[in-house]
Amino acid sequence: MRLVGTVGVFFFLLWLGSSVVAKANPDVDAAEDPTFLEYNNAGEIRDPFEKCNRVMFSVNTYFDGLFLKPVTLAYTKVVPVVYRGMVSRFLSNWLETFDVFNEVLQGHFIAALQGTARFAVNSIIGVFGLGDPATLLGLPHFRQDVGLTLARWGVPPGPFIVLPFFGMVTLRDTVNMVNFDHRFYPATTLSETERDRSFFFSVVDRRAQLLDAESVLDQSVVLDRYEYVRDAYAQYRAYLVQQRQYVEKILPPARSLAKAACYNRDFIADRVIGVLAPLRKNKTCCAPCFLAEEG
Amino acid sequence: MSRIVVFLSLFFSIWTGTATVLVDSAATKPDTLVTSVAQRVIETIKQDRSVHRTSQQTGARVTAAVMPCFDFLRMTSLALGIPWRQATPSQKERLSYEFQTLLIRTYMAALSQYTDQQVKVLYTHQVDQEAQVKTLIVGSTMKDLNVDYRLHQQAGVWKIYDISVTGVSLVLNYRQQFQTQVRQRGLDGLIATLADKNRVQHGQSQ
Repeated sequence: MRLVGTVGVFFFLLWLGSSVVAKANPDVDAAEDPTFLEYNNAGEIRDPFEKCNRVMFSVNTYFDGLFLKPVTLAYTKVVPVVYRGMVSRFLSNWLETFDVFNEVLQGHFIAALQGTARFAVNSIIGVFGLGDPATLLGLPHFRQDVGLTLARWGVPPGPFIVLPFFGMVTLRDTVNMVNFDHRFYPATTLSETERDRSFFFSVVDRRAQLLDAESVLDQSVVLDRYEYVRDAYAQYRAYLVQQRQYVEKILPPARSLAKAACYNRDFIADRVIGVLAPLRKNKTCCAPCFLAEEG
Repeated sequence: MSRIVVFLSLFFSIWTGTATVLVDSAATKPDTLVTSVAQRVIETIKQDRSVHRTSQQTGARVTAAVMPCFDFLRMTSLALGIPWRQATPSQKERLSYEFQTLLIRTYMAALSQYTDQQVKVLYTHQVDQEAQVKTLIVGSTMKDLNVDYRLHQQAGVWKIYDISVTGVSLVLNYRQQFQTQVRQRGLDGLIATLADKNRVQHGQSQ
């Protein structure tokens, strides 16, 4: 009985999440469109401590090459990419509740609902978040943290700082160093050694995700690595702050679960169920999709 | 009789010729242009990898494939910012040539990580002559990558003038560096540095 209740609540949340998305689809006025106006000053950042930052940047790079990078390279060599993906999705799912908390603080209640639905879907269907079926159902992940919440509340980014070990932040984003997520992080229920292990994995996982970006950086022509990375960081943070504006437009116009599933049928076929892959080649689709397309 | 045949065949060849040209330029909408460009680059990289071409050859092939779809002059002006106004036409031309080489290499490097993935258009936003296309590069294993394109219409043809990867614009990201260089060594100094860097990078990737 309890199981039925849980499943019911879960599907209700899912339905809520995907049906609410359909409504929000505002037409933006052409001339004063923010997307085009904001473009020109994206990624401007104040850097009064540049000299000091440059030194710290090279120190960090040096120690990274000495310790973290070799460990990460070993990790990517030993563990196949499929399992690495599972690790990062698992860790990200763990912090989904924290994302939801921040969405609420920012007044994005719809997004909070979607995040909750995501957490439910990924924990149950995705087996503890090892997979990410929620994205396929039209509920993509949006990264949140306290720094972004402060940004939403109007706190300016402040000067740019390079911290030892933690790397680049703006003054506002240093709040992310404080362990706010402590209460939301299920690691609090773990023993001391397990917590250390999970921390180790999250650091290595993050570094591993940066390896690709780093290799792109190495292959491209850069006049000044420090300036390049700093400006990229600034633009990335600005993007995360603004991403909420785009959510309504980014998400598929999902009227119902079936339609969302239909919209994403290629990806479902590719990712979740390998069995469906041949179907995709034949350009056929499952029954609910036909219904959704006709209706 | 033969005259009619000649006339007809001439007419048909011209007609089909213009028809294909029209399909290539005017009929292309921003989103289809973007996907076709990304797809073409990915295809070229994949092909060349299987026959073990050098990265130099691949670069040339990719350049040839995507050249008409990009507006490099506008890209360069955006990357340089204010100093662009004082640049002479020849400086503009040289700078945009070097910047083009640099950008294509970066774009290739970014896409070559994602050759077994698909490009999916999330949303297109068009205002008069300007458009923004958000795409997602989706793969089975790696995290999805948000790649956004900015386009504008010139004489009825859509051209890409910026690509940003998870919000980081390939073009604007050079502005600070370019302006620092211009302040220190002047515009010609910047062009020389870029040319040098392009050559060095080229040697390394061989």
